[in-house]
Amino acid sequence: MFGLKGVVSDLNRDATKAGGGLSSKAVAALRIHRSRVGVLGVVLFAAVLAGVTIAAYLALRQVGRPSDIKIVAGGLGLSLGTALEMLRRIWKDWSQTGLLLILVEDARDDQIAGLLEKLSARL
Amino acid sequence: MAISLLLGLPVDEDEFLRRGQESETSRRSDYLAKWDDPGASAADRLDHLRGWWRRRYQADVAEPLRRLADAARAFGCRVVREAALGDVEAAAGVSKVIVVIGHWKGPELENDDFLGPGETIAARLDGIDHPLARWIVDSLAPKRGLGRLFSRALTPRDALRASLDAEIDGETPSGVDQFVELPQTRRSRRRDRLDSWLAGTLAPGNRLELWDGLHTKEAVAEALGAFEGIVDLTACTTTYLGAYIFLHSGGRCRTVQFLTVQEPVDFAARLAATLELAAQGYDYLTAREAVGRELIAIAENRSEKGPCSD
Repeated sequence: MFGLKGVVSDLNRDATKAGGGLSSKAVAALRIHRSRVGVLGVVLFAAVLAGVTIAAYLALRQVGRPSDIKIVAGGLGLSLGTALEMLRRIWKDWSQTGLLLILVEDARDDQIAGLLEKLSARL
Repeated sequence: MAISLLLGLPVDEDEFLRRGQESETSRRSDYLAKWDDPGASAADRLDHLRGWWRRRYQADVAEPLRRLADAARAFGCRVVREAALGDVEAAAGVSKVIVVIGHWKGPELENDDFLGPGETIAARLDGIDHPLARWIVDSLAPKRGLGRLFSRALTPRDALRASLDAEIDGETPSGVDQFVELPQTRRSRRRDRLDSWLAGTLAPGNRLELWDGLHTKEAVAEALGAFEGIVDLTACTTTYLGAYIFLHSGGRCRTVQFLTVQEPVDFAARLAATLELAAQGYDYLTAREAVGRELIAIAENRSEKGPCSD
């Protein structure tokens, strides 16, 4: 399972393991996840930007040939829509992880255990 | 009786609620602390614990341990519930193998371990002439000039946590060409140092939790006395404790433990199979190794065939 839900579910499942506490593992796992999601977001944003630039360039080159522009615009519309939806999800995951980190960094272990259990069921 | 199984963790609801509500700080359970809200009223605390028992502990921990205890009794082992340090000492006098089911509070720094304000940490470590202390003080100091662009000062919690795994020059013994150490051992060794430097600010780590609270490696080794058998530390990454017991006994006492943190359902099944083989006359260490090997083979076989094939 990927995304924040996967991280939270793993942490929640680990709570009964005989050894170690919760907070250090939770802080480390959430920081790693946030950083990975952040990198993924930057890469995807760069790809979208490059795609739009290339499509705009191709469209400008085809001025006067509306049928070719239609193909470029259609292709761009399909891929851009998917990429923007992925970016939206990544942004949501990144910001939710950041919010959870703020709570977890200073919480007691019993508060973290309760939080993880609730989030694991509802995310 | 050749084998003693010491259960330092609760295996029924009554034990869970009693242990979870322990009010004396020195005896409070670190393992159950994540399910106990000490600030709540007595009634709310009890409800809270009952909820966790029902939702998680009963199925995930208590049932596997109860099955293990039943199996151990059936194989003729001596089973001690609510096992405290005194029971380790007693078992050392009558057993050849002691299996300890407890919780290892490792070197990791949990939020609950920070007892005082973090601001005092730099001041307390400032005068200590040791590479680890200097590394922490440096990482807490605000960066100046261009250094600010590439790194920032860590918070006290982050600095202490990072120091457990950091590559620190000058810490290894001089005159040694190559110094090899398990990451877990390095963390534990550094945690012991931090605990001694920051006593009162940090709740100490590297402790074995039994029914009567947390115990240092020295106390556990002392309880074992002149024991010359096998101590199975079972559930935790207790290599630090195992190595200390082995050295303290002059090599007379063998220890065995898992290298990674285990699910109770896994280690309980593994130990039950080991005890069964031991009851059939196999040497305990041979039996434990054989069970581990077989389980790995089964797991590998399953993953090759897929989860649904037999």
